[in-house]
Amino acid sequence: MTNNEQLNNSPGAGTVLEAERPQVMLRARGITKSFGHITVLRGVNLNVNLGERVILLGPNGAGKSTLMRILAMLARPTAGSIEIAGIPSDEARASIRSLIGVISHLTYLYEDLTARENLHFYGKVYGLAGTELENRVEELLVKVGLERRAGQRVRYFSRGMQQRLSLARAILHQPPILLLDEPDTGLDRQAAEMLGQVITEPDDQGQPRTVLMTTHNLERGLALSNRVVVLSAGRIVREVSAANLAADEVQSWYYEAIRR
Amino acid sequence: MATITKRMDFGSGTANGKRKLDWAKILLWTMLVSFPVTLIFILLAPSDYELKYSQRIFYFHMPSNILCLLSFTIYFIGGLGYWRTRKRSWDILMITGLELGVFFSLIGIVTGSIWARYAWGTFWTWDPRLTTVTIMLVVYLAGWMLRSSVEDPNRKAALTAVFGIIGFINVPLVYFSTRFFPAGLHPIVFGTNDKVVNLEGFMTLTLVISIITFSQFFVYLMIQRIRLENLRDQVAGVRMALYEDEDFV
Amino acid sequence: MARIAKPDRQIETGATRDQTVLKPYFRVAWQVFLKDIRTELRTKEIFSSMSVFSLLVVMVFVFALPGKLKEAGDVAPGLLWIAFTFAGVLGLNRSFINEKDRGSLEGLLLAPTERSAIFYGKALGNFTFIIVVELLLAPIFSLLFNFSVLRVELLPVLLLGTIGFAEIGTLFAAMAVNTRAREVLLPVLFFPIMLPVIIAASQSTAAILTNRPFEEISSALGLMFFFDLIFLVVPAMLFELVLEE
Repeated sequence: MTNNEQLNNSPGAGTVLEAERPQVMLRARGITKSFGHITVLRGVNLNVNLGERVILLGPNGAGKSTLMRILAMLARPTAGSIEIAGIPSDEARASIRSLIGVISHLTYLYEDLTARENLHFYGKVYGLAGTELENRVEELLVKVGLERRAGQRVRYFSRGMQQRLSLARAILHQPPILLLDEPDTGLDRQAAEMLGQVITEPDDQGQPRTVLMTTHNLERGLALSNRVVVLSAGRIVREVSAANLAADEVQSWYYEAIRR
Repeated sequence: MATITKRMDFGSGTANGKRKLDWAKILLWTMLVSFPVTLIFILLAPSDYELKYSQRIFYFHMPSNILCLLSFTIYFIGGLGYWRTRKRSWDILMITGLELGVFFSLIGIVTGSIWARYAWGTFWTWDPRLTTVTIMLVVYLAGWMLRSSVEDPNRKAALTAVFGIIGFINVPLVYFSTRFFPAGLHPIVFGTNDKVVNLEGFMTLTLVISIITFSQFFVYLMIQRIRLENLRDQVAGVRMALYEDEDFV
Repeated sequence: MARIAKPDRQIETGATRDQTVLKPYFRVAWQVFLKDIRTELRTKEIFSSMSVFSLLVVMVFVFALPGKLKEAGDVAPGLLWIAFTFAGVLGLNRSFINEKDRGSLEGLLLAPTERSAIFYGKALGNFTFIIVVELLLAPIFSLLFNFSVLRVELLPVLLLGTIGFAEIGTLFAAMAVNTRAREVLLPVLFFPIMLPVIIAASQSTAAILTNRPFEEISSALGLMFFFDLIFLVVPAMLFELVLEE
């Protein structure tokens, strides 16, 4: 059985990476993105190593969301290349998507399906099936504290509950990489804690998750990350890697960095 | 910036300091000669036995229709090119083909219906070819609308390309489908085409000259349209460069 | 550094290809279809708006046309297909606007397979909605016009026509959803392109209802078949381009 078969067949792509994971899980080389004459990203180089949790900071319009969308294979860069877990993105766009879990301010949920149905749908889309899918869904419903309302339509959920369910959806297929684009928009306290837990805990293979996130909540973001990358006007202007940076310390050089 | 100016430059010459052959200018000068010549030929051409003087409109009608088909083919090719490469230059080719196609099909339809008034006694008839051309015009007008209702330039080009490919494949189908159309007062009157085949020598010559002149005009318009789009790109590029320092994005 | 997986383009043998590429592809298409059906069964949003609207269209025809029953046969096929087309556009519009407005379209785009799978899933769903409404509308139409269009021979015409609607309609709905005047734009794009199908369908319907021989409609059916075949393949090839940024 080749690696590739594993990638596509194995329910939950997490198992693919059991033996040896590449050190650099996410590699962006010279990413440029233009919308007509407006250039949003100008040659972004970014490596995220296995188990690293990187927080992406930058003013509005710096290109954070665009970069996240490109890394999530939702948008194509105008120039530059991406490697996800060592696989060049232009060769296997489709199967690479199974290695990534995405959370954004959109929940991606279907309002008229129940919580359980939503997870079942996305699970099947990602190739889970049978009792494995059942178990995984139930396990996650408990984890995000929605097991009692699993049979209810998402339409009647509060924003916080929807975000929790969205969190479950994102890690359903056990992706080794998580991309979080302002995941804390509208999160209640419970959901925010859950988010922190999911980001920091190891995945089912006991491997640390690789996380890239943008956030408005600087303190919470810094508590979760071990590297800070500042994006300004489409370029990376500052990178600091250290765990538990103090918010006011970061703030002081952050403003200096984006002024350039 | 350099890449923008280089792309599909038909030699306005000013962009990179070197003087190149300016095809648009050459065509403009030759048209100054060829237009009057064509007109003289059209006036001198013998009148048709049945259609009398009105037949001369045919020398406008047929070249426009040929060029209209050519334009939509160019649009289609541009669409395929964009689909494969996502390059702006194909997008420019698509716009050019789309706009020129609409322009020439309008000329074709108007001249056609004036002619129909004299040939068949009515401005409009639903014979298959006329119906097809009309539907084609409507299809591409819809494409134009589609283009103008998208903001993001990449998406605009993408949707234009998709519509151009679908629309072009559809045209022959429309042509066949109109055969099932209930025939109006004038069933398959376009037998007039058979008359064209029997054109006498001078008429044929006039037609050829007219087609050449129209093609000149067509190429001229195409060059200018592409140049216009390139200039727009340059202006926008310069504007962006000016704002670059100000965290404009 | 270890490569964890070969990209799927490099798979040589047919057997692995089935396993690795086609299976997720059909699975995603099928799941999208099932999801649409399930949602619709629950909300009846598309179905109710389509059927009410098409009923209204038919009623407008009944009142607008000073009806001598004898002449119904001349106009009925055309009117029937106009009603179908209008209803179809209404339903097609919803299919992507719902996904887009609720943000779930992006969730689908994250699915680990070719995006044309989404096209086929959606098109199958749209086909189902439209054909159900058509089958319901036909008896009501017959009743109101006092002119029966209920003939078994019409089924192939109905199928061929509706398949074409669903194919082109799904593609254009996906295109229109990313534009400014999206609800207005879909009919503008849809009607001209659908003309061959509408003409062929109403002509063959007329021929069947007036008991004309099969030879008269064979070419119209052939045209529809041809149309369906081409646009079964082409939109799927272009779908990635429609949805990418």
